[in-house]
Amino acid sequence: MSPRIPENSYVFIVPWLRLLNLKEGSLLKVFHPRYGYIVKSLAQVDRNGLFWLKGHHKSSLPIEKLGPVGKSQIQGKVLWVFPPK
Amino acid sequence: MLYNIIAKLDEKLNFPVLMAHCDIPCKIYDPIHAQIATLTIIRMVDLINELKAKPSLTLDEQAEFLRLVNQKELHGLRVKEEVTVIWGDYIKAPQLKQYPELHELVHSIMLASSQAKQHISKDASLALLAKVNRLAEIFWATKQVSTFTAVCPYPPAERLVYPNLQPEEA
Repeated sequence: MSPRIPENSYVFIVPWLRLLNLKEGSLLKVFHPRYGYIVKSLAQVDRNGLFWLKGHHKSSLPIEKLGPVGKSQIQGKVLWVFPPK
Repeated sequence: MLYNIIAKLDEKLNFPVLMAHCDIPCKIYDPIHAQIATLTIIRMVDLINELKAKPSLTLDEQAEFLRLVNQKELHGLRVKEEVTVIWGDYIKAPQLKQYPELHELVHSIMLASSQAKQHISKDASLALLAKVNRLAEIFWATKQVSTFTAVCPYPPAERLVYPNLQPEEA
């Protein structure tokens, strides 16, 4: 997810913030059926209410490979990122 | 400072770990796959040329011709894929600084691979091998591993760059 979250960063996640209106670009903790617990950026919410995620690194999985996730799979919203020195 | 405080807390509390980088950085890279794929292209060209020398082809030989062409195409793509992974995932600023030719070399491998796919040409496939061998040379040099060139002990018996790995001391 580098450069927004450099390797070995700590992230402060607030679970209940996921219930609020999420905007494109929000960093989310998601339980992905294939990749487990991951942090990704919200790319868009489609008309079916599904959340499409993307990474910011050049070798991140493309959006279509990650696929959409439902709201119940969103575990929280990243409030702060503490990158290593 | 804040990071260090959180790191100390992490030692005590073991915060859960999240992954953000799904393309697992396994660090296992080796140009040998690209080299072998290139040898396969050369071998396919040789075998196609053997068929070419015949005045006419039986049905079986026509089927074989199709298989050879398919494999040549497939391995042309494989060369591109293997080289792209090394270029995109392994090669970073320090390697580029050491070998500024890398971008141009990788791009020329893409073009040479297309040439080898498009034609039944031994020259085109040998040109590709020369470039892939050069990439292998650079790759091993960036790992402080010396290389040597030897003829591979199987058809098409072409010269390949191998890493000069030392056996582990007992």
